Amino acid sequence: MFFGLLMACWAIISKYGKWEEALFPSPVQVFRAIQRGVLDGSLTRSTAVSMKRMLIGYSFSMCIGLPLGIMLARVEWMEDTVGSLVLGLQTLPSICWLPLALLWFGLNDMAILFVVIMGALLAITVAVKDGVKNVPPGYLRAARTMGVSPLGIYTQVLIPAAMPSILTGAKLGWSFAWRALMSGELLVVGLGLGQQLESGRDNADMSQVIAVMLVIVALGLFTDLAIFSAIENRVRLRWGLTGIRSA
Amino acid sequence: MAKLSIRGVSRRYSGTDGDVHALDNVSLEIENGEFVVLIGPSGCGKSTLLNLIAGLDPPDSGEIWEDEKRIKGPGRDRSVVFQDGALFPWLTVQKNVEFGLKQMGLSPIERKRRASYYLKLVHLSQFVDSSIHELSGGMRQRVAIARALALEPDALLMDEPFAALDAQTREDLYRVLHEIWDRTRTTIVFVTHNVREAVCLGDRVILLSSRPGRIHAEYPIKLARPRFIDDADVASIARRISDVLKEGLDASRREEYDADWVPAEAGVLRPVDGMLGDHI
Repeated sequence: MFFGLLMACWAIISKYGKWEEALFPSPVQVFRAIQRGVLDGSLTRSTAVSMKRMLIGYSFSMCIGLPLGIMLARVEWMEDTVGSLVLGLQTLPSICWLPLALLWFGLNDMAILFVVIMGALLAITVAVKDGVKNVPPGYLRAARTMGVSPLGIYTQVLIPAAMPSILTGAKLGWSFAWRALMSGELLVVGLGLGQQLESGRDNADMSQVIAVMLVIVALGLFTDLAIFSAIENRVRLRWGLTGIRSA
Repeated sequence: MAKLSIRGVSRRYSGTDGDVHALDNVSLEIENGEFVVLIGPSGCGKSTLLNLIAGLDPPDSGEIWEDEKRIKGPGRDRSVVFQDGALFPWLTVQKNVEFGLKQMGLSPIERKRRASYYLKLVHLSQFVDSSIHELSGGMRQRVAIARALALEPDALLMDEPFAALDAQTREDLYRVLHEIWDRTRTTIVFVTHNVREAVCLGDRVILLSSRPGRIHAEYPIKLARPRFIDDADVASIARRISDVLKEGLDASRREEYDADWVPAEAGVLRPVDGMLGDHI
């Protein structure tokens, strides 16, 4: 209903608004652009390329960020050294790494991956570190009296106990990575959704630009609802963190 | 040979305002199957002593032996019930009880069997698949007791397990604990600051003095079981212990207040707006 109204407003503005239709296409034109993109494969192909970069960069960030965050929380000298470095670097938007990455890796996928990883890795690391640090010491003491192994402390106590924060970090990391990827693709030649945006601008094809934007939103919504929210809801239910809503 | 033998144990820890001498040269023998209650004013080191027996902290000096072996760290032979239960909110009731069994390397079937048995012992069979947050405080402590018992320990260490519960729930849990002890005859070391609770539960009550924590007195409790918290005998022994405790308590309370604070004297509460004896 709400989205129906929004579409109606959009259609009216594009028809009677200040900009001509080439610059502010109507919903129908955008829909046609999506259709065209899917049929000739340009949209699907660039979606696939972007998702592939995303998955590689993100998995890498998770694989490094999780153990790194745990180590920072557990080892004091690590936190004093690497921990402050991570905090400092986190204030830097990851796209700022692009110039360096281009010089180091050249104009290719590696440069974009590097930017994606710098976006996700630090956010994940910091969230995991905070989560593990906030695990009540009582859980560890209890686990020790039950004879947990040194590895089990991590896999069976610290990680599950920090799971709500780890999930927040995973989600934050995903959205940072996604932003970094889009900015990277806008600036660097090479397939991908960001590049489709750029080529839409070059061809003055605004319906293509908006079509790509919609695809980006849809992908974001999909991963959030289908993956992260689903896992999060399960954890919340188990922990009893169902939250309070105003009536 | 005593089950647990504590030999000349001292322990200091540093707080924000200097060193606290929590335990000073404490020696104690606990027999197999005995129910010993440690009692004392807050900050007397009774929980510290329990943690030392559990092996969670090392003593600064002295030794603690269990049977023929010296305690050097935590172990499944001495399981602990913590004041807040320390249950794992990411696991179901059943999985919480199975946690220690899993560490022992038992098969899933054997784990399940044992967890069910001990959950039945604490009357929680209907809640095996519940989440921890769905349980009341009393139910959580029962899960914690089942989790500790499932390890079939040689000694059960309980650190003020009922302190955060309301009176009614607490009395129910005394019964549950009596029942369990009657069946298993596990050695129990129970820490509390509630004198009646101590007398109601223990074979022997050890009174610790505060700062430094030393053994102040010992009271064997030779009342028949089951005992109830309101029994006249329980009350009269508790009264005797309270009187002794009070002297020490006042000292430790003074430490926690400013210098000009005076503990309340027994006496009459005066009405604020008049004199005693008005309107006679």
